Amino acid sequence: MKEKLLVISFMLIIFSLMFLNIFSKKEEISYYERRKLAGLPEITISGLLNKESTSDLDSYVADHFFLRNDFRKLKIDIETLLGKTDINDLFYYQNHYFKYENKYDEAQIHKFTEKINYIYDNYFKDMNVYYSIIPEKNYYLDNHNYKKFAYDNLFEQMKNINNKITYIDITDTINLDSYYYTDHHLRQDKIIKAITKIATNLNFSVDDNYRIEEYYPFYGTYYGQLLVKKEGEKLNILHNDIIDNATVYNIQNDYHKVYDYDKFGTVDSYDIFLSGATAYEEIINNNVDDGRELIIFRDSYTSSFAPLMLSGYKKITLIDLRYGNLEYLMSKIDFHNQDVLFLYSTSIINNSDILRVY
Amino acid sequence: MVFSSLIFIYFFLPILFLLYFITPKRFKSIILIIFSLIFYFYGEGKYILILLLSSILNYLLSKKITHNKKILVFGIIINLLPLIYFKYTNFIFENVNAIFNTNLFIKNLIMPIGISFFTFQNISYLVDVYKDKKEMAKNLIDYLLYITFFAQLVAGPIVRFSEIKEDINNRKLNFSNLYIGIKRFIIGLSKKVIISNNIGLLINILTDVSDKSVLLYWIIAISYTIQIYFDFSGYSDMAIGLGKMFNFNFLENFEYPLIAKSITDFWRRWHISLSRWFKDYIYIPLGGNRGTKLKLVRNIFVVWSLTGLWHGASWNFILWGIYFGIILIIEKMCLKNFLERHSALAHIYTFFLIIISFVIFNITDIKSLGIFFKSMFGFNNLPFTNFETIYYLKSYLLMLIISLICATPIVKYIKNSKFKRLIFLEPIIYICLLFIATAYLVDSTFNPFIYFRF
Repeated sequence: MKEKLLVISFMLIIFSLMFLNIFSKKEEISYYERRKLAGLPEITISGLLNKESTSDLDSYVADHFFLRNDFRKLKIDIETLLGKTDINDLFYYQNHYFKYENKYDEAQIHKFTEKINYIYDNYFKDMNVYYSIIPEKNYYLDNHNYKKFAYDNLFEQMKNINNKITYIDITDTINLDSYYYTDHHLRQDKIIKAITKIATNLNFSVDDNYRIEEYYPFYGTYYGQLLVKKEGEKLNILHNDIIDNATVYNIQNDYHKVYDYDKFGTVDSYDIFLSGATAYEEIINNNVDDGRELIIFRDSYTSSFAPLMLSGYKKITLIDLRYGNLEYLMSKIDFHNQDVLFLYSTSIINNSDILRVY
Repeated sequence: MVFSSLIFIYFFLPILFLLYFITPKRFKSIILIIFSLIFYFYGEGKYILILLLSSILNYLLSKKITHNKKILVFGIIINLLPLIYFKYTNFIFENVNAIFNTNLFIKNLIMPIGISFFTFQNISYLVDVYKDKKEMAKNLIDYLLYITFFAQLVAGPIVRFSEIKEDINNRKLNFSNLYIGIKRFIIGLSKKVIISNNIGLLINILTDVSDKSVLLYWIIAISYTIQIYFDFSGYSDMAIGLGKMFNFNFLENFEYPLIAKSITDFWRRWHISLSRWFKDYIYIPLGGNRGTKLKLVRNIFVVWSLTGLWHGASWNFILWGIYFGIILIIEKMCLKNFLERHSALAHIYTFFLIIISFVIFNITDIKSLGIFFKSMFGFNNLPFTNFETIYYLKSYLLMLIISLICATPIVKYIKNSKFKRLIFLEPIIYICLLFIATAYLVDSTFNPFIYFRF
């Protein structure tokens, strides 16, 4: 009996999964994993002889396997059951999803400080230049059972930045609750204190009378990688007249609003802020005819910060060196004593090769 | 193609089953050969020509080889040439370059997977037919099936033609064999995908940790042993299981080697088909245990240097072979009786030497090997333990314990004793394991076997 049961079950499983895999609908994008799935490879004779086609086919089958996310969830559950402290560097603690940062990389941090100094020396000498560091949420993780990134060393090493660039410490204005549960980014409604501290240094005032709009459900970057919690969370966006009337221009001079509602529910819902990070953007405050200007060297975190700084400026220019070369992007700027802010997260500082400066 | 891949389990296997079972008996071998060639072509592309040409050539040679020493020698050389070319040329060049300051090197020389295994099967066939014409294959189809059958083509077990001659000619659909085969395949798949790959991941993480400790090196060393055991024995289980599904009876390749009471015992339990090949085709022709002690020592050294070299073109593998050669000589000369009398001590002694051996096996660079041993034995100014070591030990402790338990016959004893009443649950457990292994495969696209490189 047990012989029949196993043989029939095995055959049923392999045959039905074969047919289901052949005939099931294939998605192009995995929303859980936030990535494009492998396409059906072109099978060529040379590809087969050199094994390229077969390895692409392996990836295609794995990416489009029937009930892929349920199988991934099963794997995560088994690993959790086996007592693994983290799964692919991700772990769940106090309702939050965390991801370990890359190994502390002294050379990368050194390169980062050199890059900032180079940009300052070549473009912004004698201007009002500031920098601030956004810590990854692990900075606020209070549990000695988990590995801690050497944040103290990073902050110490950052002192190599030219002392004419003023440091604004915002670490005391943020706590663990300032971050999304399922994402590494900061919640816009929880960064008012940080914005206020930056504003004090840059000498402008912040509107503290925002209207909050809730979006639900928001699934952050880590959600689909760990698949622990079923519910999404709220994504709150802040409104006032300045933000609602502002216009954002990209490098092609196309314009859109500060918040791009169409992005909510896509692979990266966080792109609701400024339509996501791009190499060059200008945010124009249409509520004033004239005023100061600010240049921010940014990563993705700035997308929720920048709109809240509009109260102090006529124009904010956002430069993302991950997607564009410094010299080219600087050629777009008309220099006339703007304020300059380098606003980077610790993960970018520790992986500064990504910034295209030289 | 590898057994532990989604393509193999959920496409190759069902299509093969379907065609195999609807094909008339006289064409079943051809179906198996065609699918075996697809299996090899999928992973190795153009190298399929080497496999096919060598098989056909060996078959033709075997027709005239009986009691003809010249053809035998020619056949052995012809078989060894591609193996030497693909596997050892750059190693020989490296050493020549080091001595004569030359710059010899062949670029993009990639070894065809399984060449060490099918070369040994070809040679064993020639030698067996040289001795006795009765060992000859009936026709080319039988011989091609013997050499190319996907279940044992790329990583053994190394079987003799005579052992599966009967299976080649008389295979019948057998429900009981299908059941045994499926069970064995799922066990092997789980060993590879759930245990070996996970322990491999631990090794990668620990090797990459910046703050190392003595304990961390010991965890890596033990993990090397666990990883390779579950990787290779998992592969062998899958091969034996697949063979069984198609009514081939392959010999066991592993018999719980980690519970051995001596290194001699270990080699009776580890990669049995390879040890047997070296014994039958090298050790015994050299004189085996007969003759003077000096001859015995010489024979052991020759066999174990070759065993080491067979595993890889690198000095660490030769060192690995000689390491075992020396221990085996010591055990034969003086330790044998002592180990037989002290069972617990014998287990500890053997396990310790096995762990050391797989460190030598895994670290190809001799300088790095020296650093590893210095660190393991506390001569590298490292702390005994630290946060990172404890963190990963905690994270993988249960997996390590489960692995070590599964490396012993405990599960088998439990199954046959107290829990015999629950035997009806067996199919459910196997199906659960199949789903878990599939889940691991879905989340990781490629997982080559360690023994494929040999």
